[in-house]
Order: sequence, then structure tokens, then C-alpha cells
Amino acid sequence: MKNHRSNKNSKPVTMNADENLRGIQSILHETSDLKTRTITYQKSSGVIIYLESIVDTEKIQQSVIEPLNKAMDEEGTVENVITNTELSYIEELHEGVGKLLNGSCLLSLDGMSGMYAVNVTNQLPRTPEEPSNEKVVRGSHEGFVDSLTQNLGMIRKRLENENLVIKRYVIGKSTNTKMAVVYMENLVNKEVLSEIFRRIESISVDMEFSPGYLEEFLENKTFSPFPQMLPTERPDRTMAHLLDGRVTVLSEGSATALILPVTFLSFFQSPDDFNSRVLAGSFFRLLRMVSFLVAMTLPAFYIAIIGFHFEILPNELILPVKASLEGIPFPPIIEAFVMVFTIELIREAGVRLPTPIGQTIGIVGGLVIGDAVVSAGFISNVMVIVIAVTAVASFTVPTYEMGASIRILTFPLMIAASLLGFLGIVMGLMVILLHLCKLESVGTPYFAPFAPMNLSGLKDAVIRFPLWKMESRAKDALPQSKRQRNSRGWKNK
Amino acid sequence: MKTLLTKKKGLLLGTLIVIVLLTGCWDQRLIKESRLILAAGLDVDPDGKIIDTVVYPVVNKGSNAMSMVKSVVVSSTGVTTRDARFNLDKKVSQIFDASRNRVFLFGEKLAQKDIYSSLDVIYRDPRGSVNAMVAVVKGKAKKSLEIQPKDSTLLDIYYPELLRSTSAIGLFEIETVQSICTLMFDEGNDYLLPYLRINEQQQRAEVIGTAMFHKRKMTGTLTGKESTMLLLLNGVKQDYPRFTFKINDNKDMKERNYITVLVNDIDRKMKIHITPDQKVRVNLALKMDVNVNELPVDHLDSARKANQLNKTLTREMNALAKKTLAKTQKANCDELGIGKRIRSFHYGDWKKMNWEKDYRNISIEPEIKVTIVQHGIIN
Repeated sequence: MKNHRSNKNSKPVTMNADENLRGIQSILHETSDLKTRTITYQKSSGVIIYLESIVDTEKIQQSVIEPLNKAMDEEGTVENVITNTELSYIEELHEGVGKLLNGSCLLSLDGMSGMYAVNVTNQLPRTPEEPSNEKVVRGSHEGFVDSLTQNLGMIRKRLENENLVIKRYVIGKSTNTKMAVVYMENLVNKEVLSEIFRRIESISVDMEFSPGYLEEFLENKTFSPFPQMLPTERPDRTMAHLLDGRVTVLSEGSATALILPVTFLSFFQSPDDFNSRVLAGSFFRLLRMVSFLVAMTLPAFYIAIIGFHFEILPNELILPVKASLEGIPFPPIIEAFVMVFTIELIREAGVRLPTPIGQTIGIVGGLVIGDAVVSAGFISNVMVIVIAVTAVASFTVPTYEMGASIRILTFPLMIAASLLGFLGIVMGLMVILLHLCKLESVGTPYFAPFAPMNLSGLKDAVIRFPLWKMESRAKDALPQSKRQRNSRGWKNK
Repeated sequence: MKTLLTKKKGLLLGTLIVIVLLTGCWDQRLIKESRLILAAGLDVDPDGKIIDTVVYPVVNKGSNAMSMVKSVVVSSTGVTTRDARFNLDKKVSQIFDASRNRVFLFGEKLAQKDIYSSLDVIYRDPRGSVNAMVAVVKGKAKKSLEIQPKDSTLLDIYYPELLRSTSAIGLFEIETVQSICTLMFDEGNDYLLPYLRINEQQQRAEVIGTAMFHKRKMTGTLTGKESTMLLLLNGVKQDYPRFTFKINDNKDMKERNYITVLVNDIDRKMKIHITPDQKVRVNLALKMDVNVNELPVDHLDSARKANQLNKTLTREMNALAKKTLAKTQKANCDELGIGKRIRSFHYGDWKKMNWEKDYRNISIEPEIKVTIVQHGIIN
């Protein structure tokens, strides 16, 4: 691990245990959870120092005190006696404090020129649960937890490969958050990787609070509506992306892994696609693409129709639409804004509230408001249908971030539609398309395989081809090697 | 320097936004603020003025989102079609919008004068409803829009459905404003439009045949049976073209004297022979496979009987065809497009001919051969 602390005023460890203790106490400003226990070993008295709040006292008991007591009168160095796997010898007080904060306990003995740090971190393992916002029907139901070590373990478990490399970083001058960059050495594009390293190393902040922070520190265009990194809580998804030559960034205290560089389309893929049969998987993926378009353009399209181009409505539709619009006091754009706003309110309230209340809010908001607003004659029922379909469609995107982006994009399109009709929508979509084509995720094209166009990449884009049709690796992350696999060798005989 | 630049940029951006936003609802035409014309009728009054009658739906919103849609009829006169429409606009709240018009009904009098002049305005309008159906009404078109048929409360649904279902039984092909446009100007190719009669007692319209047109004018009418025959002679078979013929005279019960057949399949061949002095003889060979729909007098279980019937039917059909073709020639309505064929394949002869006059004098010889192929599930 990189030593981040400045050693300007570091003091060496003294021969006197009491003096060391006082030194540490003063560095830690007499914090109350600093506990000590005196001990005698081979006739020299000493002290065990630890932070009660982050260590497992059981471990201290088992791996430090008991062996020391047993070996009280025998010959042997501390290294030989202490059974813990992680033991280091420390000569500077500040380094010791660093270890303390890391969950180690310090053993200082009179007459020794250094201290021993023994890792006795309190592991509070959270059982890996299925991530609630990335549920799948079949397949792995394991999700990342808040512990970095455990998360790395989950990845290692799935990728027994000597090429899997984990690089650790510490970010946050105050928080000292541990971070890990994970990649496949033989696959990852070296330029991309060094660019990611360069960006991570350049981060200098007080606090690394969440993956959202990291995302903003690393991404090119913060004001783009599209997320340029894929947050996921699924180890299986992470593994698949690692094998496509992408890089994963994890941080301590967060169950979310950031995958980069990604493409626009990876936000629409779900492990479910590959757990179901080819036809079903393709259908679901197509459904998501359609729902993306619907969620983004349907309200705008409807506004344009009833405000500008109602002649394109089929004969059978025109009367119901006209009937529903009769007597509505607002222009279509206001009508749409009111409804979208209401739905967003219900959604936001539902997310923040505990589940039972959230459901109540959903019912009250959805049914009562939806029904009442129509019978009161404020909003036309066709508009309610349109906005409801839009809202449902925006939630079918497997990644929450992308769903949110789409919902944001509806607003400019709606305004454009209310100003210029279809022309406005076309202009709006053109701007979005231009932006997508120009966008990069750590130097790789974001809108691949459409721009730049790559025919073989399309196999895993809009629809999903059978796995044996996709024998070469996706090119968008610029991986070092193309996969050569022959998944159905029995066919060739 | 830098702040100046951003100020300029900001100003530019602001101006652009303001320009875009201020155009606002420039071109907007809200559906709820438009009077949708869904059917229109055109007549000519004795002074030569145009009477424009339109039907538009009015929604009466109930308390519980249930709404009643009613057709409202209003009419006005003017020197031209558009003038009449302007006069209508003065009477009616909200702005008329004819882009969704589904039916144009022409009064017989106007149709006999000229229909193009009334449709001209639609061809010029980018939003014109060129796919509206066209039909001719015996008497006044205004009357046809004032009836209240029980089939549908809305006339603008009643008429398209009526025309579509009648077209399916083989009386005519549906013509729209767009489709007749080319035919109006096409040399040697004319068209038919549905011909309606209004039954005020039953409050219904009834298709009684077709109106024959030559160029822009209506020049005659055909009965339903003749229309079906002409369509078949033209090689067009709709879904259910049917004929009923008398085959006997001697049965006590009248119904037993008739046969009804459904045309199953046709095969038409037209051959045009032109003599060096431009005498035209057209040979129309039409083979018909028919199903016997109704034949109360016989089970039709012997081949001999069927052959006999084939002969009778062939004779009847040929007679009908001759009568029909004579009528079209009298009306100068070249529905079969014979003139167009001559123009395409015998242009030298065509140039020497005057189709306006010559069409009446050419000889068209129908040669129909009927074969009964099915007689239903009776055995």
C-alpha cells in the first residue's frame, strides 16, 4: 500500500513502552476508544494498544495474548510466537498509528526498538445478498457487500486466473478510503489502463464518499446526461466485463463496482439475457431498446401530434383522442409536465420511504391521483396513459442510472415538440445522437458498435446472438487479444 | 478579454434561446381547438353557387369522463367551394380543419357539371385529405348528411363503412380524392364512383349502382348488377361479387325460378384489333368460376344439370355484359381503359383517332364463359 501520510513530524518508536503509548495517545488526541492492556513477556513488561471500535478482541485474545502467555518463559522471538497471519514490525509512531486505524493492534515491549502490529480487524461479514436493483430471474443471486476484501474475494472466486490483477489505492486525505482497481493483465488495453491509473493517482480530495464521487472524479463529461461508467453490484456481471478487457474499480464501504470503459449498450444488457434462451433473450433485449425509445420520445411524440400533426392519427383514433382532450384547461406541454412531475414525485417518495409506506404512496399516487385528475377534467386520459407507459418503460432499463438519464432527456424533447412539433423532436434527437457519437468513456467510443460502425459487434448489441456466434471479443474496450473460442467443438467433427 | 468573450457568448446563447422560445406556438394547431370535418357534401344551387355541407363531431363531456360524441351538420353557400367553406367558418366556433375528412359526397347536379373544380382546393393543400372517399348522391348531397342512420350515430363512420362493405360485394372499387385525380386527366381511361340514394323514410343511404364519369363529368349511371359486371370485365374481382339470374319461368313459387352465384375466380383477356382504317374491335374473353349460393329448384348433383346451368348462366352473363358495355359507350365512359391501351400499343392509330367520338363507335365483344365449380355442402 502506498504510504500517503507525510512523515514530516514522525517520531521513532522508543525503547520504553509507556512512552510509546503516550506518544500514540497524543497523536490520536486522547480518543476514548483507544484501549490498552499491559502484558509481560520474557520478563519485559509491555503494552498492547488497540482501537476498541474496529478490532475483534477475540482475535487479540487468541492470536496475541494467549501465545505470548504460553511462551512466557520459552526462548523465541515475537515473530515465532504470535500466530496471526499478518504481522509487521514498525519503527515509526505514525506508521503505528496508521496500522491502528487500519484495525491492527500494536504490541510494544520495553527494551525493543520497534513495535509489532498485528492485524486483528473486526470482520463484520455481510452475507452476499442479491442486489435489489439488479435482480435476475435465473442465474447467480450473489451481490457485492460493503467490504472491499470480501468483494475482491468474490471476484477471485469467479476468476481463477493468474492474469487477474488487483491494484490497491487509498483515496481521501481524511477518510483514507481503500480502493482497488481490478483488471485482466493479458486483456486490458494498456493505454486505457494507464489513463485510469493516471486519473486515480491525480485525485486529491478529503473524502471519497461513494462510487458517485469516484465516477465524477474519473469521467470526461460530467454534464452529459449519460453515465460513462457502469455501476454494478453483481460479481457475475463484473467478471464478464473483466473478461471483455474492461477495468473495475471497487472501494471500501460500498457494494457498487464501477466498470469502465463502457459503451452505451452495456447499460441495456442484463445477465438474464444469457440465462434465457436465445430467442427470449433477444426479445427481452429488443424490448429494452424499444422501451428506451418509448421512454424518451413518447410524451414528445404525443405532444407533437395533438399540437401540430393530428392528421397522422388513424381515423379510428382521432375521435377518442379529440373527445378526451375536449375541455382540458392546459396546453399539452403543461399537461405533460404536470403528469411527469407527479410521477417523479411518487417515484422519489417511494424510494425514500420504507417499503410498506412506499407501496401505499404508490397506490395513493398512482391510482387515486391518476383517476381523480382525469375525472376532474384537469388532464386528459390519453395523456395519463402516455405518461404511465413512459414511466413504466423508463424502469425497464436494467441500470438505474440510465433510466434516470432517459427520464431527464424527455423534458428537452417535450419542450422541443411543443415548439416545433416533429421538427423539434428530430432536432432534439439529432443533438442527442451527435452527443452520443462524440462521447468517450476513458478514450474508447461510447456509442460503439454503432459509431464507429462495427458489424460483428452488433451481434451482442440490439439482439443477442447465440454464444457460439460470438467467438471474438467485443472491440469497444480495445482489448489486447481477440477471443478465440470454439464453444461448440462437437459441431465441427 | 476572456470575460468579454463569455459575455458575448452568453448574449448569443440567450438570444438564440429567446428566439426559439418566442416562436412558441407559431405553427401550433391544437386538436382540441379544431373543428374536425369528417364528411363533406357539395351541391350546386340553381344560381350556380356551391352549397358546402359539412359534418363535424361535437363532444359533450359528461361528469365521469364519459363523453358523448354527436355529429353536427352545417351548410353554407359560396361562389366557390372555398368561398362556401369561408362562409361556414363564419358560422361555426373554432377553426375548421379538413385534413381528416373521410368522405366527399357530390350532389348529382354538381357531379354532372364538374367535380374537379370542387376538389382543386384539396390538391393544393399539403394537409388536404386526399384519401377521403368520393361518392355521388342521387339528388342533393346535403340531404345525405342530414339523415340519421341507426347503424352509427356518426355519419362520418356510417358512410365509409357503407362504401367499404358495398365495395366488398363487388359493385365498385373504392376511389379516393387522390386516385381519381390522375383518372380525371388521363386520356382514354375513365372511372366509376359509387352512386347513392337517400331513403328518408328509413333514414338510410343505399348504394344503387355506380355513376359513370368521363373526364371531370358524370355522364351516366349503371345499376348494381351492371356495375358488378363491368368490374369483372375490367378484370377486377372484389371479395364477394354475386349475381342472381332468372333460369325458369314456370315454377309456382317465384323464388324457385332463380339462381344466385358467387364469382369465385376470373380470368380476363382483352384483345384489341385495329383495322388499317382505324376500325376498332375489342375482344373481351372472360372465364368465370362460380359457386352456386342459392338454387332452390335443384340439388345440383349431376354433371348434366350443371352443364345445362353453365350454358344458361353464360348466356345471361353475355347478355348482361353487352347491355353494360353499350351503356358505357353511350356515356362515353371508358372504364376498361381501352383508349389507354390503344394509346400505349398502337400510338400511330391513336393519333389518327378522336377517342372522344370514336369510343362510342368501336365494337366491344364480350365472350364470357361460366363454369360452376362448387355448389355448397349439399350433396
